[in-house]
Amino acid sequence: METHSRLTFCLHAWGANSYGQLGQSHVEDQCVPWLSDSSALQGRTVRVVDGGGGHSVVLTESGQLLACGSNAFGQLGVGQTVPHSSELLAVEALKEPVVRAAAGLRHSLAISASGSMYQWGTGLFSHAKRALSPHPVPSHLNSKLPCPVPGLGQRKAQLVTAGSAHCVCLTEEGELFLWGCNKHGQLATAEPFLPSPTLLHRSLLKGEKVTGVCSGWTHVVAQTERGRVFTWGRGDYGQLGRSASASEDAEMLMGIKKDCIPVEVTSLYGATQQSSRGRQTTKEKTVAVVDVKGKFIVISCIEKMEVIIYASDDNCLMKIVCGSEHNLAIVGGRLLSWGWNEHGMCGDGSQADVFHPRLVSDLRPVLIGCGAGHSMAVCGVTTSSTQNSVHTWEELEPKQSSPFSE
Amino acid sequence: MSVFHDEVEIEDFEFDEETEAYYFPCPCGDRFCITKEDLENGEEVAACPSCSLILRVIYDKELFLCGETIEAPSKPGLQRVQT
Repeated sequence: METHSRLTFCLHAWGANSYGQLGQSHVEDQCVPWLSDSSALQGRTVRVVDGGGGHSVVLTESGQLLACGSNAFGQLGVGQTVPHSSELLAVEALKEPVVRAAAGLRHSLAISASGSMYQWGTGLFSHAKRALSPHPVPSHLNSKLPCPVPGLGQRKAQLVTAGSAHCVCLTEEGELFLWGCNKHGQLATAEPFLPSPTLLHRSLLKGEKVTGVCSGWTHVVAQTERGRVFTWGRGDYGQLGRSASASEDAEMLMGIKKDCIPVEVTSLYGATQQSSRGRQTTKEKTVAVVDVKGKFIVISCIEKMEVIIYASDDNCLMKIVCGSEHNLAIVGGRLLSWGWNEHGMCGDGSQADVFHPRLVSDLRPVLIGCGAGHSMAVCGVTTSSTQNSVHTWEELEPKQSSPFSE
Repeated sequence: MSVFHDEVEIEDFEFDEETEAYYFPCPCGDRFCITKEDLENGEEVAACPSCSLILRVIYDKELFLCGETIEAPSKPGLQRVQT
């Protein structure tokens, strides 16, 4: 017996809220998920959410970017109007529709529909001033309103991610550009600071194109078209999932090795491949098309109420996420974790740092996410077939081609 | 843990007038903290109440010792006037 109902998607947030970064019109911490139903969203679907040091950025399906939380460094992109906001504020200075956004510790990044990149928030300003003095600091590192980021030339930005004081951009052609602070080797260069986007040479990634990238506070994880995963940056808590490289570029700084060279982590190979497995079963029935991270993911409900998730477009859908100093990955349908583990965020039952990706119990996650020092996984649950109602959800974007031909 | 998680300049800390303390985000989600009094006493360790990580605070000790509160480093070469 089937029932039809329209599924609506709501934004929930929880955790630290001293600056109003949960967007719930108050500044109390929330220990359980709570609806962030801001009137500013006007009922539109949220496409992308990202949390920074004390602020959040929320991107709607219509390409409008909103932000809430601390504005002490202009990271909300609304100028010096308010010191903080517990309400979602529209970043009106972005005139073009936005397709991607990221929040760093004290800065924010956005990509417009035409592939242009914008940056705001002065979190990198003091680093830049110290590193570039007596040269002036470029505007995109010292702005409280969205400022165009120069240096990509004619290339179009596709993905953007932010660390504590650095930025990473992936172009449509599969090239990685990095800029900001390089104190921990996170920019894969010998320069202590890069003021503008600088190309990471493909030779460092075995000549392959990059299809996905994510960043912790001081390390970077990149995935290539062939499924290889490379890591570089800070590694003293195991964040890189591998031993330090023994190249001559490895310096000792306060006992921390500066790991500038991207090195492949072979145990993470194929972390994007999980998504295509769902197509092999034949008894599936499409019940929903959901927006996740800007690309469509179909949630299919087979007779046994098992949920399988896969993407209509494998590009840009990396199954690796970074916290501040730890990481989660889905490889072959299983959950792996590595990095800093003092608060148990690697989920192995201990508080010892994990230096190589390790399986986390028997979890079969379909979606993973990290906060600074915590981890989350949405896992499929198999229920018995005594349940007699199946929710059928309307397709949100019927014009998107379905990955199912049967 | 005796190894510093990182070294951070005092100008990168946020100052809270109520608590008279300087704060910087900790990777665990809480904040490293060092009070103005600590700095006046020449302390340079900012600790996180939630974990074992510690920061080394980089600042001009002379400027704090004479009771001045600053949130940005002074120009190099500033000297106290001897009368």
